[in-house]
Amino acid sequence: MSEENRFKVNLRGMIDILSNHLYSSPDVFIRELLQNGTDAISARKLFDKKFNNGKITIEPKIINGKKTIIFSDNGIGLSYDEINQFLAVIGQSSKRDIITGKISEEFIGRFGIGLLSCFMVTNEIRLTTHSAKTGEYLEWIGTPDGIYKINRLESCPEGTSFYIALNKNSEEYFEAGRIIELVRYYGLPLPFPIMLKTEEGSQRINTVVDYNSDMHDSIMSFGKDLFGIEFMDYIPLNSPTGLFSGVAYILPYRIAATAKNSHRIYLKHMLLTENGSTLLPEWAFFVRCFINTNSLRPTASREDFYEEDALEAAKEEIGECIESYLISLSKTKPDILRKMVSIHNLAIKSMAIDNDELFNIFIDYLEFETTSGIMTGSQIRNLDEPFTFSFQTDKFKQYSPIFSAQNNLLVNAGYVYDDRLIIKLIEEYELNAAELDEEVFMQTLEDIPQSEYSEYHNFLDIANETLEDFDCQAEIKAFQPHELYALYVMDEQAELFRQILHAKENSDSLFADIYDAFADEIDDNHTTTLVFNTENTLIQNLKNISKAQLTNIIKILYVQSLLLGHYPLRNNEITIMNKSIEGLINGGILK
Amino acid sequence: MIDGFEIQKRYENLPHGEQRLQAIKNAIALADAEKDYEFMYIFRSDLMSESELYGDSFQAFLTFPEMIKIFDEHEERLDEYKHDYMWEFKWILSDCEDFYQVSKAKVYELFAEFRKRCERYGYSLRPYYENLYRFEEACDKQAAKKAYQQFILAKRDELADCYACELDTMVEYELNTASMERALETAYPILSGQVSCAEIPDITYKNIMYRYYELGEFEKAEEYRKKCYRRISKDSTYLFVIGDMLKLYSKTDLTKGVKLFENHLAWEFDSKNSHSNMKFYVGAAAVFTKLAQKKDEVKLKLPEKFKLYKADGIYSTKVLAEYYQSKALDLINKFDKRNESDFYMKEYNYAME
Repeated sequence: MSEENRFKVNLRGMIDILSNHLYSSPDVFIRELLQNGTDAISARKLFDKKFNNGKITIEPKIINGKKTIIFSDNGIGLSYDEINQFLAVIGQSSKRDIITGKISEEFIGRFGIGLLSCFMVTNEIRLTTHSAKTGEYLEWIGTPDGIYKINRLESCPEGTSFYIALNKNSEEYFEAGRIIELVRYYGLPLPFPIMLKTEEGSQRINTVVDYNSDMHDSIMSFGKDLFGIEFMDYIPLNSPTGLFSGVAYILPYRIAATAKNSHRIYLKHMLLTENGSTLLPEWAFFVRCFINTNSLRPTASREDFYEEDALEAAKEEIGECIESYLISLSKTKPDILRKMVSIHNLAIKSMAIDNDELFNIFIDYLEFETTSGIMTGSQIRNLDEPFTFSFQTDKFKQYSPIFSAQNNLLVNAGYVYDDRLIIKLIEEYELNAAELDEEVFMQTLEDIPQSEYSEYHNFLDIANETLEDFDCQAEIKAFQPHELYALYVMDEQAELFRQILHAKENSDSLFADIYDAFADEIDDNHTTTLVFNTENTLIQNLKNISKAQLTNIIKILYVQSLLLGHYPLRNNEITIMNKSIEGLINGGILK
Repeated sequence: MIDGFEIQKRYENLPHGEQRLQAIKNAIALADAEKDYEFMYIFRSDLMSESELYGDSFQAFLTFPEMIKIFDEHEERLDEYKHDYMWEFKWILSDCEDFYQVSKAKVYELFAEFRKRCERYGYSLRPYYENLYRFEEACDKQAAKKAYQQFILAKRDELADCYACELDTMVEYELNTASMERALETAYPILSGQVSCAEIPDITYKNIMYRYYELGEFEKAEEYRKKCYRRISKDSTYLFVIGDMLKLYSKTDLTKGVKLFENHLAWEFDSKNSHSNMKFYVGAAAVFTKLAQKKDEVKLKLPEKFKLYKADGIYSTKVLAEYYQSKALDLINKFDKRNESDFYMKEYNYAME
């Protein structure tokens, strides 16, 4: 036998859930009221095609000694039946077509629980409403325990007015400044006036500047009001297909590419999100945007946009707006462009990689690290001499002194985006440049004359014997700068091999043998070479010392060269260096 | 003492990728030199995240054992990082699938170690089974099924993957074992945008695309390829996805396939992830094998770094096809041998049909 029962929902509990879980703060009651008002105005427009003076008025007023907000719209209003139907059943929305179950595109609110959020700030909601459809005048009073009553009135203003008598701990919402802030935050672009009525009079609080006009200063100060930042410039965002409209402000300082921007993104004139990662191209991290769209769909949680072709198209169009602005900037305001490039170097580099037009505009302004200091793309492409570039910053650092001493240019292409930009620069302008190849480079170092070579014979033998333990060979060359006593040269495979050995040595037995297979795969021909510089006086002095001392010194020089090349040391290497120093000191003292 | 947090702040301001990885390595060298155990640990943990989330995972694979050793040796001091390192251990388990160099016996040893540690700390075995299921997928279907069932029965706790990722695992399982309809139903919260994370819906789109490709429903596959591509087109960690997309194009649109290959070949140069590379090679092999049946030469704009690079850009389709067939087969054999299955060979044969 089964029995059908209805369970009861505790409304007070629901409100707790709403305020503590669904809504991030009681602030949202303003959003919900704005949404209701907006939908009521849309509904009246649908009902009466001539109606075009929709308006919301907010009035903080002391009523019966209580700080109360009167929130009025001149929209469609509710009839007696509608009140019973909608305000009596939580979760039902008056915006749903009862027969088809579909919600008209005109409406923002979809979930019909918005009204409940008012109970986060009040213990009683009173509303008066005049239905444009039936002409009825009604009053509805509801409390959080779920009890409500409806009275017929003689008369009341058109549309619907909510009377929200604020709780003691919600009195902040009575302040005009707070109301203005929240209304602008949630509904700034709403396409009808939102008026704040106080003792001093009535003022419109949702004015949006015409960002397609030439009122540069007004548009800039609108941006400052909105985000509290003195921006560098602005970019009007107009979708050619009508997907969005708005404005992007250029940040006057550098921010990390990973930083989450706070934008103001509105859907049907109501705030949807501050996070631009879905709608904006990922390289656009140097702007803050104010955007409204009427065409995109939100996700069910209404926190972001639903992924669909329209979203992708909007994203592309926003990208194109920003790009074409930058292109025009190079002709109209090159100074701003230069300043922008120096501040937002990284963002612009990331754009220039994939966009040839932007590449051509920006490459001359973009900056790269070289052995002759910072050089712009323009300086590099106008070089008369061939140059070398390195894809690794550490190698750039290691080889910089040698290139500088030899008056050759080394460009650091190790930073993010620089690798692809340098390659593109070389290809585009057919520059004479080559990647740093350490083995090839070593060949270019000067051999020492045969006569001198024999003097180092003994030195080389001992060095090779000592370095064998490190899987490394010794060579001698003469090169500048003479302060550099040796250069550690390692090919890519050898570097990988070294990393693997390092990992193996620093692991427990469970993991250590994982690496054997990786190490086995590495070409046996990997080479590492320590090139001693015979121009260096220390090296010159080592020719004739005892084998024991030389062995110690070679080991020290080996470890030193590794450190100079920024290679992480393996376990035994520090110990070896310390022992060698100890050996030298003992040798010295004992002698 | 080093000011580790200051160093950390500096590299956290760098964009993700090689440059940041290098900066973290330098930070590790500093902490190591100072024997500052806490930062020796923290920097390695950051290196792992960088390599796993923004790189080819290889560096993570090299770093994890050092990190766990530091943790074990200084467990009392580092106790607050227990959850972090267990989380990173999960990455290593999932990497096992990607590196055939780790023998199957070793993989099981790693799983056993993870399990032991879960039990020691009182964590649920849910992520253990989830990863085991993923590993077994390419090895032993029965074992995979068993692991999956244990995965969904085990309790969710703070070591479990995020809801979006777990749901994706369930969708993947259903794609492979149940009907498309059922899988799409399960995927609804992902596809409707209700749940998402760093990798979801990207991977879900890819999985659905792949299943449609296997079923020969190429139009539907293309629909999901499009959704997926727009999310992953700039992220080189998705090299393996490009491989799967190439396979689809080899059956639907060779011109687009060639273009996709041109656009993403450079990703492969920097990848040490054997699994991703294999996927890419198979995709390229499929595209060029089909192309070779239609024409002898193709004009391509490829980077100089490419092994078969030609300055005039004119390539023999046959040479390209053979080159990628041999690279693909080499890795397929290694993976299938390690996995004791013919999983990847079957995928290859279908791609070449």
